Amino acid sequence: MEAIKVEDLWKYYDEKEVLKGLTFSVNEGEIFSILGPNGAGKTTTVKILSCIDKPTRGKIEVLGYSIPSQCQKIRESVGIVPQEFQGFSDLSVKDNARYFAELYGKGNSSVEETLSKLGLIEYANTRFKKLSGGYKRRVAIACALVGKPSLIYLDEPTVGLDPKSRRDLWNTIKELKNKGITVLLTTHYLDEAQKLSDKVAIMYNGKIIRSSTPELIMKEFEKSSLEEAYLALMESLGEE
Amino acid sequence: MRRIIYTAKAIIKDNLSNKTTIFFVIAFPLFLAMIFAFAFGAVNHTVETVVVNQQGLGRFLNTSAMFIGITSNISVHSALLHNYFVVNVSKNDTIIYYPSNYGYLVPSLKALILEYKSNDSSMVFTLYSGKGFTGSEFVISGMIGVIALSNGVFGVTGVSTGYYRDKLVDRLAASPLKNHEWVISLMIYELVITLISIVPLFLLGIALGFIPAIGVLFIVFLLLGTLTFSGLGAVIVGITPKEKIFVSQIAANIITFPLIFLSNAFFPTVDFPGIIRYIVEYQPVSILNDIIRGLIVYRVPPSPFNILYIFLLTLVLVMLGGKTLRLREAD
Ligand SMILES: Nc1ncnc2c1ncn2[C@@H]1O[C@H](COP(=O)(O)OP(=O)(O)OP(=O)(O)O)[C@@H](O)[C@H]1O
Ligand SMILES: [Mg+2]
Repeated sequence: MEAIKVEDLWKYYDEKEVLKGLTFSVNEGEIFSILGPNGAGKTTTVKILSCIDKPTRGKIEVLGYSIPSQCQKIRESVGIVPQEFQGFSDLSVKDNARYFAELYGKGNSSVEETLSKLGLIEYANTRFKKLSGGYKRRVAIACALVGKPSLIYLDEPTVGLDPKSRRDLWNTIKELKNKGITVLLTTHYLDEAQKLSDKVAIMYNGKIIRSSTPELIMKEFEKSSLEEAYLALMESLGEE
Repeated sequence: MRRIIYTAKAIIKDNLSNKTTIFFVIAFPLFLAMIFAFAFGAVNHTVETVVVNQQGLGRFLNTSAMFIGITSNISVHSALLHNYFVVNVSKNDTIIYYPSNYGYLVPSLKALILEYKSNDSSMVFTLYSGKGFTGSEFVISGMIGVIALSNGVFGVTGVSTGYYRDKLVDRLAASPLKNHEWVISLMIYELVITLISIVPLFLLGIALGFIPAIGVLFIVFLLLGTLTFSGLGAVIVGITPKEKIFVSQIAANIITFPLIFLSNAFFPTVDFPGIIRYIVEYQPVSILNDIIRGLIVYRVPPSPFNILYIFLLTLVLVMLGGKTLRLREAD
């Protein structure tokens, strides 16, 4: 079964073409990463799949629901970690997580557990605005997880995390997969993408120029890491 | 419903944990009320207004430096409520209506009228007194409309501008929270802060000797007024382009301050000159204050016109606000 199915997705902002006919699909239970340089259109894609932004045209289904007609269903079942997350700044970490748990109708029984898994227990009573950037990211993830989603979007979740926290988050993401949750990830860290992803899509200038497994892409460019293969691909396009 | 309750609760807790909000909700209205309560006392006790039925007498009183004589078709009842004297002079008898707390000025007024009538010794005076108001009654009750306005408008624009800037709105837009649930949650927050704001204000009033007659109708109109102005705030934020969201704060200031100062909140309508007086009289803060003052100071029910005015305005602004203030583009 496909958790996400996108066919010929276009997005214009006024005159500007940002997405130019994307087609890809994400299978249930897999970790799917979208890679690509700044401005390629990764966040725009995630926003459209989250029903925050409207597609200009294209056929999109998420968990079997179409966009835009069944957006409310999609919002109820997808967990979102936006690139720029901000909670209620004067609420504590715990109150933020509780709020999102309740918003998704999931009660707050899993709040404590989620906070401790993300190393947030000792900050449970700290106001959101007092946290460091890395801890804010963790709260963003906690607020997505407490809604008990079957599909989760993580837009650059590891930006600003220290190496240890990054590894911890990788483990959390793998655990999600083990629980059968589908993960759509965007990242600039190719090592991360290589380690975690079942499949990757490389976006460039509003188009998907490769959509495959990390192994096949490495094989295509005869490189031993996804990062080198990616750089070789960008070089072939005239990018540094 | 569940999402509205949780969202309203989060907004309330978030904002009431913030010192700046507390300042604006509690200290700011108190501060304004104190300034104007004292200014009112200082201004209004030097020269009193007398509504007369003869222009000649009016001009004569103006030379006294004690009274201002005006001719107006204001009713005796409402003139007294505004703390005006009313004088009806006919050939040889004169009726003086005076606000009960100004009885000490009646002898001077009598003397002036006699002087104007060239000491006509056959002149008979009839005196009536009626309830007027004290400066603190006037200003504290007037402050209620100002609170409904400023909490309503600045509450919605301030809170939602902050949440847009913080990208919290984007996160909520990706959640199951619906548009109307978002708008209603914001308005519930406004209602709560208004109820909080009036407590210290009434305590100040009581300290100044004003015991407000608080009843159900007062609460109803206070909440309706707050809803009206939060609808206005929602419209302001709604029509502001989101990439220039700070503009909504500027617009809120530009709209709010004239509505505060060109109203009957701190000065009686009659104190405003010419055409401005009509604007002052019929703008929403004054209408709301007429109702509120009537209820808590004079214990009179609101007029049908005022009731209709506030109900219609609330309906229109809340609907417009709900239509324009969107949580998300794709809906
Ligand atoms: N609201 C908007 N209005 C106009 N242009 C926009 C808007 N949002 C995004 N864009 C443009 O769309 C393009 C794609 O942006 P997007 O944020 O999707 O890129 P990205 O791949 O996520 O980049 P990054 O790696 O920097 O996060 C950029 O050129 C950006 O300027
Ligand atoms: Mg991005």
